[in-house]
Amino acid sequence: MPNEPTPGYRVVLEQFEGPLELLLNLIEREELDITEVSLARVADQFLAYVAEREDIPLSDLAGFLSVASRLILIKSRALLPVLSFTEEEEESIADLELHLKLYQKYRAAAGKLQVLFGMGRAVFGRDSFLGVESVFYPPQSATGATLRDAFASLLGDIPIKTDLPVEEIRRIVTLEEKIFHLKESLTERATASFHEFIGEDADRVTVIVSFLALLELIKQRYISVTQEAAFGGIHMERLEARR
Amino acid sequence: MQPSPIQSLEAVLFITGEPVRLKDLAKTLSVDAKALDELLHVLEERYAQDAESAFFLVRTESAVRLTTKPGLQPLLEDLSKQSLQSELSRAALEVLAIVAYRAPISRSEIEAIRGVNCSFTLRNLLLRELIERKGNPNDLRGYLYSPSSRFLEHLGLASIHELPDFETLSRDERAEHVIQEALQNENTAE
Repeated sequence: MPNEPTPGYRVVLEQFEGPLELLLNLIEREELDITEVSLARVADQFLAYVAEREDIPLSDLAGFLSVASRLILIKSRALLPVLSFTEEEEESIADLELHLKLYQKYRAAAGKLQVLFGMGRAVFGRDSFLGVESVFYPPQSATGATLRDAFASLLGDIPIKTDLPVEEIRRIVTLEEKIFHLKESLTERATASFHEFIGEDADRVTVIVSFLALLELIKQRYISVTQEAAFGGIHMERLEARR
Repeated sequence: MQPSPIQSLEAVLFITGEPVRLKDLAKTLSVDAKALDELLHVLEERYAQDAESAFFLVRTESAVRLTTKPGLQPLLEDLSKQSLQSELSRAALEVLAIVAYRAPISRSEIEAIRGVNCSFTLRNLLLRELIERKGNPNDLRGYLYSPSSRFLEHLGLASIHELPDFETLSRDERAEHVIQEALQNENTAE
């Protein structure tokens, strides 16, 4: 694993371990089957890895956080069997198991392909017209218009390079941003509810990032929070005297 | 003497050398797609039966190529300038496996299974001509990827159906589920 900054972004991408790959490696290293129990066992290792790796591309961070959040759910149930989960949470745990098993199948298939590649059973076709001299023989149908069309479709093939990653990054709310918003909304009012802050239709990643922002602000002693009941609303209060 | 259909087919494949599109082949031989398929089967069978024949047919979805039989690689490797060396990375093998078993498949579907960005790896495989792509009728912004004739030639397979566990891996309802799920998330996020 490279310690110094790699000059080429591509190299990093090629060697990059995705969340599923990482999780499967951890499970297979322990020689476990893919079950909720074994997921709970490797949860800590997964979280530690994500915390250590600082070079996870922003575009993949959401994937890591989504897997991490589900591992935390699984782990908390392993520790506290009385916890009951919502239907959605149960589903997301089942999905992770399912997805991982599927990925495992194709990874095994990749191994078989590798064996096939090494078997030396390649076949050969004739390189047709090898050595045939070239003659200028333009097709009758080649007109300015067809050439223009061909060139236009060629241009259409060139991927628009920068737009896609930018879009992806925008979609993810950064932790700093959330901390800033959270501070801001608590400047206007001394108290606020976390539920209101994240809004009705926040996606999973936004909720996770918002929650991390909340934890960070507690750490900074900027706010204090109270929660009446497990899974109840979280009430945030700005701490006045301290910074 | 009027050439027989099989004779004509063999002649065209021999003279062309490269993969011939089934469409063009049918047109040249003045037969329909079904008749062409039957002719190809007959020829394939004939080569397979004759242990001393050196010929073999490699078929993709859209094309067929006349090649040498698997097992002749040691003899022919030096003659043909194709280099079959250079290892594929693990990521490349995984993407190749997914494309091979689930073709035609879009990039977002491949990424749904692997859970990670694959565009660089796909580009690499395209450059090595192990996969090919065509426009996606359902999504004009993207492409559908399939294994190429060269991929099959490297492995010495007559068609993609000869891959190990092809029937089970190409039809996996868990895969459908995961892909659907991921595509839905993607759409709602946009």
